Amino acid sequence: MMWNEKYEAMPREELEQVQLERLQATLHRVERNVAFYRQAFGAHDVRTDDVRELSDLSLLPFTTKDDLRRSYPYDLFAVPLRDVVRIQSTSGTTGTPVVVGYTRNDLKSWAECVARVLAAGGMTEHDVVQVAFTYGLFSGGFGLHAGAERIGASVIPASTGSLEKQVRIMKDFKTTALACTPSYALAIAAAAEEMGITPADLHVKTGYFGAEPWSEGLRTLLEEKLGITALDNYGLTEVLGPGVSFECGQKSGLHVNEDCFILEVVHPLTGKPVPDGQEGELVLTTISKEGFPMIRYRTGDLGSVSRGPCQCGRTFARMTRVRGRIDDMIILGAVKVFPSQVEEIVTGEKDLSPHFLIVLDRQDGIDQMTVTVETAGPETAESAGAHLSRRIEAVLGVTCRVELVGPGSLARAGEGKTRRVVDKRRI
Amino acid sequence: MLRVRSLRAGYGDIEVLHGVSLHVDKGEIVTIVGANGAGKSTLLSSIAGVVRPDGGSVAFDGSDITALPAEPVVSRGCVLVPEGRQIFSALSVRENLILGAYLRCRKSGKRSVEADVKKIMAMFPILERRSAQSAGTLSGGEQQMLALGRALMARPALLMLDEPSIGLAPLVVREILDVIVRLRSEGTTVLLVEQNARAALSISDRGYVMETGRIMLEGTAEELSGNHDVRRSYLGKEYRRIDE
Repeated sequence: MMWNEKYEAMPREELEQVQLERLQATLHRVERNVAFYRQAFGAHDVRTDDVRELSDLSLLPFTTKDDLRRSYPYDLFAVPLRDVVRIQSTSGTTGTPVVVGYTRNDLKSWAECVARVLAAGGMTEHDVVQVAFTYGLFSGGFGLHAGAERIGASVIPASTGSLEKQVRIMKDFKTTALACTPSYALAIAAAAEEMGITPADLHVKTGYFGAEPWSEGLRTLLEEKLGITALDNYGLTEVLGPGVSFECGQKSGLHVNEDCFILEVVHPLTGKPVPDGQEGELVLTTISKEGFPMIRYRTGDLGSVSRGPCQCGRTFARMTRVRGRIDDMIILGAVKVFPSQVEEIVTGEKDLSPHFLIVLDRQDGIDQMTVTVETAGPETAESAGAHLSRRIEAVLGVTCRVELVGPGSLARAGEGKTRRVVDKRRI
Repeated sequence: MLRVRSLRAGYGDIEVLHGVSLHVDKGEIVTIVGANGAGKSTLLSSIAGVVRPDGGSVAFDGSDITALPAEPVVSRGCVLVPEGRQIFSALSVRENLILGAYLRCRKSGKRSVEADVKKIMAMFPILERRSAQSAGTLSGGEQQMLALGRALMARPALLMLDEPSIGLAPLVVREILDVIVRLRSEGTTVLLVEQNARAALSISDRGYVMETGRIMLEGTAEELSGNHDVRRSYLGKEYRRIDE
């Protein structure tokens, strides 16, 4: 179901015209209003008037996370603060937080983008939506809230917190749609199981999960445990919050809201655009934001794009599900591995729980990987560990030790993203 | 219906348009808002074929009209009502109207032109009343009606209006706007260029804000009216809509 057929199914030629218009206007505005961009364009010896085609976007310099950190708090705002009606920010766990601002029009546009995410999963005003993202500076809570409210669904601002409370709400308030991170959903599912509540006791039909990469294996697990259809959606606070791209019922890629964003895929090292279908770093440019426009923001997320038509009828380009962050990529000798790949394999093992931790170490000058994983229960044999190790070697080409620990031994995702890797090699 | 991509144009060595992109879909009323000197008139003139563009492209109804001079642009149904009315003062109101059909008359025939004159007179009763008067004796508002009527004689699919409200009293401006809305409901697509942003946005579906030959902002009329820069620069600092 499309929230906005006019744009979601717009013929490519018309869509590209809209993109060009909005891109040029955005570039002129940032050149005039944001010193950082004025200087960056000047240093790069490019003028915004030089962008005559969408492909000319590659003439412009990138914006990096460091640029955003250095601009803390308001240096990248393109409008005066009095025109900013909402401020959100990233958590700042990996450094200075990034502060973003929204004008009134930006908030409307954001709600529209998220409404499309939710409508793609069939949400209507008859739904009861439990938003279990943290409400606060993090853009997840408010973002999903606004989109669901825009559709007219009954929105429960559950935020995060007690898992038991989440399950009670889900059951008693007759939640039909759950929006949260996939690891939080897993925790809720586990809590429900502990409380003796099964999918038959619940009304929930759809899960909208995002804010961290998650594997197909985890999707299948969540769908089974909660009796739902689980859909991926993608976004980042630096660019909007949730609502940048979303899965449709076809589950064959995430449609990018291309009337609001231009997605490029570039080689992570050279920065050169790669052909469609090839994996690289996702780079996003906002074309309808007023308060905090972003030009060629290097997301650090890895994926690829395809522009072929989708069965659902949407003409928006699709990106693959994010395989991982460049930062999360584990390099062991000549092999590159992502935690999500390990997750895919672990979730496929019936004797093991989906909770694991990767520890990287260096012994005698050689990199070692140990996967510590919880057993599913007391019946799990010791051989399950060796079996997992063989699977990982077969699929990922990396040798690792597997350590089995009892259920519940590993720290749980508190309110959001799970830390899956501990790298002890850094001296 | 109209698709303009990165249009560059100017006069001699002076580039006035630095890569303007916009589009107008069939049935829309689209406004370009901007102060004096923003390049709005140059934009319409470039589309109309009065000024030859230096770069970029203009497509009308799917065909490229970028390098076409004014005549074929009008024949294709893209008609400009220029800034300052530019009616033929020495000729009568009726003669002005008939001239509007100049390019069509050989093909359509005298009877069809006469029928159209009657239709325009019915749409603008004041023109009927002053039919025999010389156009130079009309008031500003009446001249604007005449300029509009003359443009309509060419049976435009897209009507482009350059500052129709300039020099006119507010009540007359209101009348002109009502005519434009009526035209749209009768199937004419409209591209409007206006300094009087409030008036223009009140009847438009979408708009673009132009400054020094560049588009700075685009959006629905509601979005533009809600944009703080637009409100400060073009709608008056303490602007409040009556229904706020």
